[in-house]
Amino acid sequence: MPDAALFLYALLGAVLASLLACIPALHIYNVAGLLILLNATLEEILPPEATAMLFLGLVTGYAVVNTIPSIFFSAPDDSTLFVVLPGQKYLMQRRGYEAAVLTGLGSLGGVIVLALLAPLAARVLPPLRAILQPHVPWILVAVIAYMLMSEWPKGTDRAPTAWGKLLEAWTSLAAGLITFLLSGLLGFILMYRSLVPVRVAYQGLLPAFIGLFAVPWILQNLIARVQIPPQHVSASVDVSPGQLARGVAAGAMGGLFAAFFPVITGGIGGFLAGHATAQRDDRLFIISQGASKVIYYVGGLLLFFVPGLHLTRGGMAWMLSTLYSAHTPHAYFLATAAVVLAGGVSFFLLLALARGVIALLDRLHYRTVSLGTLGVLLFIVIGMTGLGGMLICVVAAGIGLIPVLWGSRRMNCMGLLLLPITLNMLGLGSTVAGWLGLL
Amino acid sequence: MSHCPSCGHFIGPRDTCPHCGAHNSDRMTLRAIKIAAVSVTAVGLLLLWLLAARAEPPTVPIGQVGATMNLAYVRLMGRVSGGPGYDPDSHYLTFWLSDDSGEIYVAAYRNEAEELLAQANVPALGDHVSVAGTLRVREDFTSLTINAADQLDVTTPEPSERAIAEIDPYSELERVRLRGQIRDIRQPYEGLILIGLRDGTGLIEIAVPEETLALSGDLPPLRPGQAVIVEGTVTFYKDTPQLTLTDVTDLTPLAETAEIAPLYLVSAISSQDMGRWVGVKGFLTEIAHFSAGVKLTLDDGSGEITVLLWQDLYDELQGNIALEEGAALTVYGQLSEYRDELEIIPELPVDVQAAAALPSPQILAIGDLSADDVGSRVELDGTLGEPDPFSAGVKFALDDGTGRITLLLWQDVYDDLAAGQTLQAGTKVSVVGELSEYRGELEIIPRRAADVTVTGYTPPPAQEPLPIGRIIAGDFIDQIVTLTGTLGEPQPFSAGVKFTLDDGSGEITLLLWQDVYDALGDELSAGAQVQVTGKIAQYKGDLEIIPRAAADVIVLAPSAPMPSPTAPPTLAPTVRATRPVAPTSTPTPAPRPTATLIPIIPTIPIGEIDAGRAGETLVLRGQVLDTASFAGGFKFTLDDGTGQIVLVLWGDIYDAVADLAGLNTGASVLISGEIGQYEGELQITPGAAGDVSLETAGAGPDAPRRETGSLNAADLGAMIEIEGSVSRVEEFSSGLRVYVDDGSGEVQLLLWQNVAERLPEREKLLAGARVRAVGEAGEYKGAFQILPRLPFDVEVLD
Repeated sequence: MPDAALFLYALLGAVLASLLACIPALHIYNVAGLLILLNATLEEILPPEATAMLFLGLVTGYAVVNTIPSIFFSAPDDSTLFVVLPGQKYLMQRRGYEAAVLTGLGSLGGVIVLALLAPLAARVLPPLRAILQPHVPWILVAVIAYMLMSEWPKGTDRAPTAWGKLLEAWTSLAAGLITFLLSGLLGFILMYRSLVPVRVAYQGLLPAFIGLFAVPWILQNLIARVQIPPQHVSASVDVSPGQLARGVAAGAMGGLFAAFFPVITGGIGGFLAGHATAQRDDRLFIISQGASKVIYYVGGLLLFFVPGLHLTRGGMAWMLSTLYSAHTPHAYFLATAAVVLAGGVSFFLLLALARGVIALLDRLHYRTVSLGTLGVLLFIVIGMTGLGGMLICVVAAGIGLIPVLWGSRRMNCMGLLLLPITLNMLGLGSTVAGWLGLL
Repeated sequence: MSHCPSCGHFIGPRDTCPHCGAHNSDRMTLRAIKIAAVSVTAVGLLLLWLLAARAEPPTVPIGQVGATMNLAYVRLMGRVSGGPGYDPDSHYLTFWLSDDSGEIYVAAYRNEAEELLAQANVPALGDHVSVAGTLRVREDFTSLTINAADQLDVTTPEPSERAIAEIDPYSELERVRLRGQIRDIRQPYEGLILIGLRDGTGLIEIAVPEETLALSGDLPPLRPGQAVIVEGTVTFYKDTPQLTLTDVTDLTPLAETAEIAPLYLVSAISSQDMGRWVGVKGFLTEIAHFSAGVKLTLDDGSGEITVLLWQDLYDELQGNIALEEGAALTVYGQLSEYRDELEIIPELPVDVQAAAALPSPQILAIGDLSADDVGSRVELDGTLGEPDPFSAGVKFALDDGTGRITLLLWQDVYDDLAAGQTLQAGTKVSVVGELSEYRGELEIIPRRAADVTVTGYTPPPAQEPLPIGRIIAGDFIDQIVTLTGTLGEPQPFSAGVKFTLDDGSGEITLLLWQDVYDALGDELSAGAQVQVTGKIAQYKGDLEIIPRAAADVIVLAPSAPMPSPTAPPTLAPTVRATRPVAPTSTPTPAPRPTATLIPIIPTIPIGEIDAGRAGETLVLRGQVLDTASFAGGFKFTLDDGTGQIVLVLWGDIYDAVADLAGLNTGASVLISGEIGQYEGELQITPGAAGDVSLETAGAGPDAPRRETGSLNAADLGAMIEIEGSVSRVEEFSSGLRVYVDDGSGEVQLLLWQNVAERLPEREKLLAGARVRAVGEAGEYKGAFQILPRLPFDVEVLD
């Protein structure tokens, strides 16, 4: 297939993903999963190399534009958790559009970073991987430890007794730990004895992720009944080029870390990068999250194309690897070019779609959107994974509500992957699975 | 409540907050939500865990693993079809698993691999495996990762005892146990050791991959010639089977020796065994050095064979074994042929062993012999009956009082024997030879004259001459009788001379083969009175008496002087070729041939010809038993009593053969031609028509006359004679279709081109002509046909 035609597939993916990304909590992986299911039917019009380009477009468009529901509907995925707080602050200050633009600028910066790294990737990443590979288990342990230990007591200091104050302060800490452990337990069950039918095993984590991240936020929205003030569409953004560069750099660090290491998501990468760079400025934080998100999602998929590396990171790469293999530098640079193209188009779509959503906010009730989204998600869960998946989703939603209700980090839900995979890498996974009676 | 519970603003008595729109009544407390969330989580997780703990991972056929099963935790069952491989550096343990639907790569990493090794739970090639793990599906590669060592169940099948020759493509991945001798040990490349193993049925290579060594240790010390017992899994390298060793402890050196080839009698070895490994036990009778080594002659009593030792092997043997004449040896090696001589070529010093003394042949009573003894070497004592000469030698009846057997002496053996002593009826002999069977009768065949020892003589009761008239009236065919009478005129033929013998009671033909006639010299002439002892035979309705030797003809009274012939003609050497031999021709008195004009041509018994003589030009004599035609010519099956061979005459040769009409079934021919083999059929092919000498004409096949309309399916394949009028003649691409009707119905006479174009009086074969034909009954598209094999099988009558 000619390269120009492949670019069209990438462009199509970017446009499609940009539109779908506006639907709160609808993850692009779910859409890609449907395409995998339909692969046999679509093979005529969607050969493997076209699928690869379409997926690149999809993931790029989604990574750039999914900031809209994160800001305007407060529906984050696992990589956008940290956008919510500053983003909501902006929203309540009528600056939602500006927050979207800042995130988009960060995303655009992330795309540029990926393009700049392209010539080096094939030379640097394979040896880097060879060096780091033996150390991945303890690095993951360190990440987990940092995640858990960096929680801080969030008490109101109004309890009448000292024990009461201590209990109040440690409630959120305990909730974080419990969330991590319970989600880890759920991860073990899914890894060894999933109730998801084996024929759709590639979507085995879909009900868990929807339950952990999407459903609690929707429930929270339904309960809270937030009133969004009218939004102002500004003609400029409150950021200097230097600040933009700093934000992108910080985001790139987190994104690259998340993209390169297994199990680490964009949210965790961003969290680590934020702490590493000690950012206090909301603008930098939003920009860095935009960059981190794109580098995590898109960079993770691009690693699959790097000659000599062929690393499978992220759900999109895992799905694509079942249909397509990239081995040549040509394929890699073609993929990078497609990402740049899709990223640019997605950025402009972000601006347009953000304005469109703001226009709809007055007419579209927040509660209605949330209910509709919940319906769509549950339909996807049942449709793809059946009642077993639904049960997983419900349990995951319960776990996902714990940090929401007790004020701990929702990132702890990533224990779903972090705990079983890290233990597996340490050689303890099967022992724990045996204790749990799963073997 | 004066403040909004949702946003905290003052709302007074209102039910709905004017600031955030929250309702002030019927609210669910946050505590209730928290309790609900924790309850759902706890109960749901417990339920999920209970369900999961009780669920077995689904068992999936390997072939059904597809892209959407990526990351599924499943169980696969199958047989290890590749590996296992183990990388000590990365601690990866891998193998290939296959079932009826496909094959998949299975891997265990680090801890799981180490645990499997520690548990000695590593599957071997061919093992049955049930394994649970996580599927990894890529576009070009599918694998299963073992997440826990105890999720791998390995069942090693019991090996079956096999001979190497029993390993075939159906044995792939089967576990077998072989016993044999190591022939060589080599390392074609780093990471693979190949051990050649031979048993009595063949050779196979034991493959020892480096993974086997990595997983199970080093091989025990091995050397060529060592007997071992080995268990392994049958694999194939390209199309060649090999035994893959999966554990070095499965290869056990043995103290005893292993048989690497079956032991044969030399007489049982022929060129058909070329390339095979054979063993021979015998005495070393001759040692001959040549530039590249040594040739030993080994005699086991049934024959001699050459053992070729290349110089390096000979050097190795020196000092280990006494290679001197008279030594008893057991030699194993590959059978080869060099200049028409069979050779055994050993490879290793262990292939040549000093043997214990050879067993003496058993002395048996003839009455105890049976067909089961065929092939064995026995010693028999008995008294000879009358000699029965045949084209390749002489047969005697040998009787020891318990039974009778045929003693077959090939001509060379007989000649050697007859040179020193007399073999005649009544001679007592002790014979050592191999038992054989020919046409249902047991024969003992000594290999050489020394195997026959004359131990005495008991004269048989003297035979009184019988009246010839009684011979004619009675059934004396094949009996030895003595006749007296007066000779008529000599009638020379290609192989001898015939006389009429008349005793007044009747007349019989006296047939003297050329050698007998020559030995008698000038004693025989018309009018002489003779006493003849010989076998009665019948030829074309005439009785003949055929003495075996000159001694069987005693001239009782020479003939009266005859008038001198005016011009006694001398037969040219070609007289045989021009002699009329048509069965209907009337013999005419002919001048007596001289021995120099019709030389005795030494012939070879057909039974002694085998494929190993292909390419040689031999002379043989035989009787035509059957005929056939093929596109390029004609075939004649010849039999001389010792065996059969096919005479092939290409069209041009056939056309030039003299007395062609007599060359048919029943004819006796002397042939010189090149021996060949075609599709397993021994053939002799003369290079010129002169190489075909018709000694007696054949009357053609014995075919019953049938009405043309009476042929049916039961006749198919039988030789049939028909006679009738030609109703029509059709030419087709391969010959002629002649439709013959004798009034009972039409039948097709199918004449292939090579027959049709040689038909005598072909031009007369028109509609209305009357024909007689002999041919094989056939059927084509439901119509019966007669297919003559030779041109002279069809006769246009008028």
